[in-house]
Amino acid sequence: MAGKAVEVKLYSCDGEDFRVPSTVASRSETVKNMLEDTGEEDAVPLPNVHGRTLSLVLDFCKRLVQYEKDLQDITEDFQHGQLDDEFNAWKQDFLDIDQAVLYELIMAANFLNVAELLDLCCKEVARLIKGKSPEEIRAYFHIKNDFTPQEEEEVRRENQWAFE
Amino acid sequence: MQHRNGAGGWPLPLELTKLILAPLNLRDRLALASACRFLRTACDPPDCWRTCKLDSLAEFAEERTRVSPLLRALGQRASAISELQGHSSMKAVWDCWQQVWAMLPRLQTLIWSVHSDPSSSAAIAHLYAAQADSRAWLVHSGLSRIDLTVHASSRDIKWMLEMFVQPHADAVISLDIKCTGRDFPRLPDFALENLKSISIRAKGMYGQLSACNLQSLTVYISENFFWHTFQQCTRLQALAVSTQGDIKFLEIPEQNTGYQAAGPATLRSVHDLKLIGRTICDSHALLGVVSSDLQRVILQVSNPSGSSFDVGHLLGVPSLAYKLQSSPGGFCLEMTRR
Repeated sequence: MAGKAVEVKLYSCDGEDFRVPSTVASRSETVKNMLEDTGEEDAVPLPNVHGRTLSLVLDFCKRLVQYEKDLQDITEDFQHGQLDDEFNAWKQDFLDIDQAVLYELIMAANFLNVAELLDLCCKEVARLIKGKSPEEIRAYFHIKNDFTPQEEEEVRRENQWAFE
Repeated sequence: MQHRNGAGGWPLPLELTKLILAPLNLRDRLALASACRFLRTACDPPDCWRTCKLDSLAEFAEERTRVSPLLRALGQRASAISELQGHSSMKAVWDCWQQVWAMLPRLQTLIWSVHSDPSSSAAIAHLYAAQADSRAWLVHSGLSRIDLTVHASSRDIKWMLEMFVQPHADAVISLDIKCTGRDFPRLPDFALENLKSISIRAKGMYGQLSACNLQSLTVYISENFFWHTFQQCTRLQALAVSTQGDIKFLEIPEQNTGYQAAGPATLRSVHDLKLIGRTICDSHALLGVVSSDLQRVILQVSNPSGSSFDVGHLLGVPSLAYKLQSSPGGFCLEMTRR
């Protein structure tokens, strides 16, 4: 019914279920398509997403929907900037998570096709990379240096400029 | 559960790693590519190098001698670059672009910000003196889109406009000019037919802008604003002027004696109008021609007694809702479409 918030049910791969307004769930293109195919009454199984990650994805979608609604309601120019500031501050808090959770969130945002969340998380990883040397990147992201000595010499020669 | 998709332990699969590369500048990409085999492969396909960001001064070498290592680092990847983003001093532009252009045969889009480097102005003057040669190497025939920011003295703005913007006039889409000196910059006196957006911050300005497809004009000045400067811009959709002086629609400044003032008739396509000044002169002429599709108007005047502005001209437009705030020094009128 127009104007009435319909709730939909989502199942994570570890059996947690979440009831959220369809407006929130539909921020995921994947869920939206499934709802269109099966109807909003049926529970939507999400076999690739853990409950704790899905909970974060839905938190993001709820806040995004709220932000967009607030944007429509504003009457003053200055409020636009204020809403942006509030949302940006919220996103900063939201991203205060472990690396492992951040990667899971990226995988989930990709699978669920939530473009805004995927973009946010990828930019966060890029931010973590910025300014680091190859050694620092390895240490920070727990990456093993699997180059042979010859390959490493080649890479160093190719990318010398970045090592200076 | 941590995902370990790449050899070496990088936690994300290839297609998502490519998304992470997009915001990274060249140095960070090369550092990432040097971390493990998987990342070396992920960072190197040509489609990852369509956009290249050189967004720190250290990256875009200040001296010719520093350019070579950069170009070596780009190596084969350079031939894939179609969009170059970054910023540098004016001297770095003069010193280095010649070599960079040669490495980027597919370059189409340049999003660049230059600023004056006072210590090197003599070197720039020398290059400017050899104008014919200098101009030749600044030209890149493949450029089809330029978004250029110039924060410089009026003299350096003049050189940049003459030597770089004019030869690429058809490619220039947006210009952001900030004059750091106390004198007035001269606006381009050649046609910029594809310019969509221009922003100008200066004490004042002179000349006449010829940009028939300009959609957005933003001006921050401290001296009087004369509309005749932009009267050739006949397709403006958004006009924002903020000045400590007067906003004049029919007058022309005395030094521009060669011009005829056409009045504000060219404002017929404006949807969004924001004028902030000491006074708004000739408002009757302005308000008689503004677009019937006007969506928003903000008019702020600090000295209404010196203005011929008449609020009544606008309050009679039934499709616009208005809010009028008076203050001891003036008033602010904000109107939006109902």
